[in-house]
Amino acid sequence: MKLLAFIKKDFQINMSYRFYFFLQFGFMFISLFMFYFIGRTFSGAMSQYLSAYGGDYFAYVLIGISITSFVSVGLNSLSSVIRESQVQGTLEALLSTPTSIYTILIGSSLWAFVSSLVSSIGMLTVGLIYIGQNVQLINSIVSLAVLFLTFTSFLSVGMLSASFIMVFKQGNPINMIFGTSSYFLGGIYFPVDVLPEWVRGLSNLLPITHATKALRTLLLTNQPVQNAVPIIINLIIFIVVLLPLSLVIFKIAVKKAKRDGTLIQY
Amino acid sequence: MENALEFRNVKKIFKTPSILFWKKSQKKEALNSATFKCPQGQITCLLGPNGAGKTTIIKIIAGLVSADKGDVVMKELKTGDIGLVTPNDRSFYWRLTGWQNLDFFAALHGLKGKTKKNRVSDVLNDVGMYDEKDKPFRQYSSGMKQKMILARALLGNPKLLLLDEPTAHIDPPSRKQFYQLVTENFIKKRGATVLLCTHDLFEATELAQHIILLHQGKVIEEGDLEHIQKKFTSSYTLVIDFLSPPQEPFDKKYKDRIKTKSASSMELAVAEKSMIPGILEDFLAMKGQLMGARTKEDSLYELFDLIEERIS
Repeated sequence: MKLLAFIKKDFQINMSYRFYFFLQFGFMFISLFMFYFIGRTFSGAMSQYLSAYGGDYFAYVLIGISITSFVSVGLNSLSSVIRESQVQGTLEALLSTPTSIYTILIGSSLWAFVSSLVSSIGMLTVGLIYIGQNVQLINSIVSLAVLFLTFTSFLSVGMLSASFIMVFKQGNPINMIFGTSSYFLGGIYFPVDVLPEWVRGLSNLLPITHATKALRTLLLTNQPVQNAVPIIINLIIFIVVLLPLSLVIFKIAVKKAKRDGTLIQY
Repeated sequence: MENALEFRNVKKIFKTPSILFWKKSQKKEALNSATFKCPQGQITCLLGPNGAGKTTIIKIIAGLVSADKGDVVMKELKTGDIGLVTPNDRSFYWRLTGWQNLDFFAALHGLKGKTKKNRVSDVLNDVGMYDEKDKPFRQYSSGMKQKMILARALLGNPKLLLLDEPTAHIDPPSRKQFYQLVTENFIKKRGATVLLCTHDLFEATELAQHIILLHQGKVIEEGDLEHIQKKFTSSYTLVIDFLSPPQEPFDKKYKDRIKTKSASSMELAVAEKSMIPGILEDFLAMKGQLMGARTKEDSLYELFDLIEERIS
């Protein structure tokens, strides 16, 4: 119930900025159009790298950009929630209620998650219909699960970022390192195979590489779900390792902030 | 009388890191073995100048800061039984209406459905803001915002209310109304305990039944107003209003006690109230034409200076 209250509150706040609320959906489709024309410009030129994904750049990048909002939300939402609520002064009021800081954190980022989920699904649906891609129902359902796992793995990284913000207030090396490397090495805009061999090893250490690979396997090449399972297991391993670690580190950060008296300071 | 809250030898040191990373952090002792009690169902006032440690105490009770040493005993109080009121109106969502704000915070108190709706209506009525409930928070005046802060604190039906300089940004009439609401809604209606943190001596003397004097993180004295005054003020002031002054020997006899003298009144320092009849007899015996006499207790305004004086 408390988590729903956060979604309701954020929906009400977003609706109070009506122009912005509808504008963000417009931007989503503008970026789609941009990549459609880039795809047309380079059609065929990169086919040797894209052949494993059906050979169409637009279809390839569609999966990548639909997942970027998840990366952004997962990485930034928690640290932004901490920072904004410290600056605005709402954190003190939220912590004065019988609500754990974890509920506050997760609840406050839920709206961003829901809206990025809606925009990702919208982008994928429109894009896949446009290119005439037939996707089996089971593949669509597993893709949704992949989106959720991607979000959870990035949320774990986001929790580490939030720990930094909690203690140091400004400066977020985790976001910088993870964000930049995910966009560059994660196979969003171009296949990882284009990169030098020694860099490819690094890209395997990023959850987004496995997320994009799994989604492309399920949605573009329409392979049976079993073929995506090993990739999905990689994502699950990230979560199993990162989530408890980030929760412990965040707990230590909260304890330190309480000891230093800086929990609600910015 | 039972105590709702007890601080036992609570210590807190804050470290401020140096800008030069090779230098050691600076340490500031915020609380030095602070020990005091808050009687149940009363307004207790934490009184002290800036930097005395008042807000640190409030934050420790609210769970926002952890104590380094000592015990904080909160009898029968669990999370959610403590309401916090600060002068920070930014702690609301300004794009939402008053109702939407309280509805959200009520959900965080675990209230659902009709119970939540009724509680939000009740607290809005209690603070006289029901008719303004559909206005965006940003359109409220400072006094209205302060009422909303109080309404939010009432949502969880708290047994202990922490007021951290709650009227810092509002005008005197709104301040008076705010404290009326606190007294009516918390003390009279709910029998709750209030811990008020202020450096405003007027607020302390007007409201508190129990006063805790703080100075540089230490509890200097604790008790009711009379006790504090007795402890820190050595004299009363006797004010004599007259039609004509007494003859000169009176001034000579009491020259060390006369604080001020005008054409129609004089003020004398007296150590004990029992001295007053003797002074008045002398006044009349020396042909003074008395209009009236009263004692004026030395106000708490002089208290901080006295404390400084005594400690140094």
